[in-house]
Amino acid sequence: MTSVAGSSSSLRISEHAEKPFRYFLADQCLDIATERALLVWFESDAPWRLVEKDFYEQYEFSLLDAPLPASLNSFMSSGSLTALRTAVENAFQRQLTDKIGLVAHKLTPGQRIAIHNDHLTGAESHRLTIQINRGLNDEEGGFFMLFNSFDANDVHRVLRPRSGSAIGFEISPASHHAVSRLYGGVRYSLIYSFHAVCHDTVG
Amino acid sequence: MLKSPAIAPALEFEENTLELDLTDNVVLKRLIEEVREEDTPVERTTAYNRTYHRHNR
Repeated sequence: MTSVAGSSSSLRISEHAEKPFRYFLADQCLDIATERALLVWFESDAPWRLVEKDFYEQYEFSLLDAPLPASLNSFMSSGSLTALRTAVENAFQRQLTDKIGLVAHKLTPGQRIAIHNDHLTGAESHRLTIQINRGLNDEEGGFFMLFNSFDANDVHRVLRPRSGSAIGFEISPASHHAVSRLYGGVRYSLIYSFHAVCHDTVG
Repeated sequence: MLKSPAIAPALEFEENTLELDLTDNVVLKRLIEEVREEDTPVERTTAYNRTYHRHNR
């Protein structure tokens, strides 16, 4: 098991999949203390800013640029980030660079994220998304949806946003996903971005 | 809370299950409509440009 936020937490991968794109599911990625600390911060003075794009609208900010509460120092330590990167490397059997991105997202009722794939050649190669909330039931929506293609009718599976759970996936033209509309509650997520080491050679 | 008329009676919360059962076609259809990308010209969807296809940066 790999520590994410400290010695008491782990990235517990429950399932690996190769199609329609490479991904894994994890049952629990945060220890309770870290999860609570994040929720308290997110609900109080975290520096959210509203971002509106064509296919989504949400609040977000980068944790790497934000003044963190002391309770999250361990969570954001270089050791924790390195351990997490190693876990993702092991999960995908791909070497990743030291560069890691980490942003927080917040969806409020009425917001959704339409189908997209995150793909841009030369940019991030892998993503880890961890759900954080105070308990969302099915009526409140906010499901993480995976697709077999860019056709929204072509659903692969639908995942509940259970707090502490996560999905890690390899970004590609095939990594189509979305978040269904939120009807109640607040849906937070942590989004880690990783970059694969390029082994291409010239000549 | 916003209205979600199709989901309330159709889904039962399963505390320990991460995956949603997709056997209810009404619910599935509604979810699909919620995430369908509207107004996406072909040239944009095939170019995978940042605005239309990138997220979580």
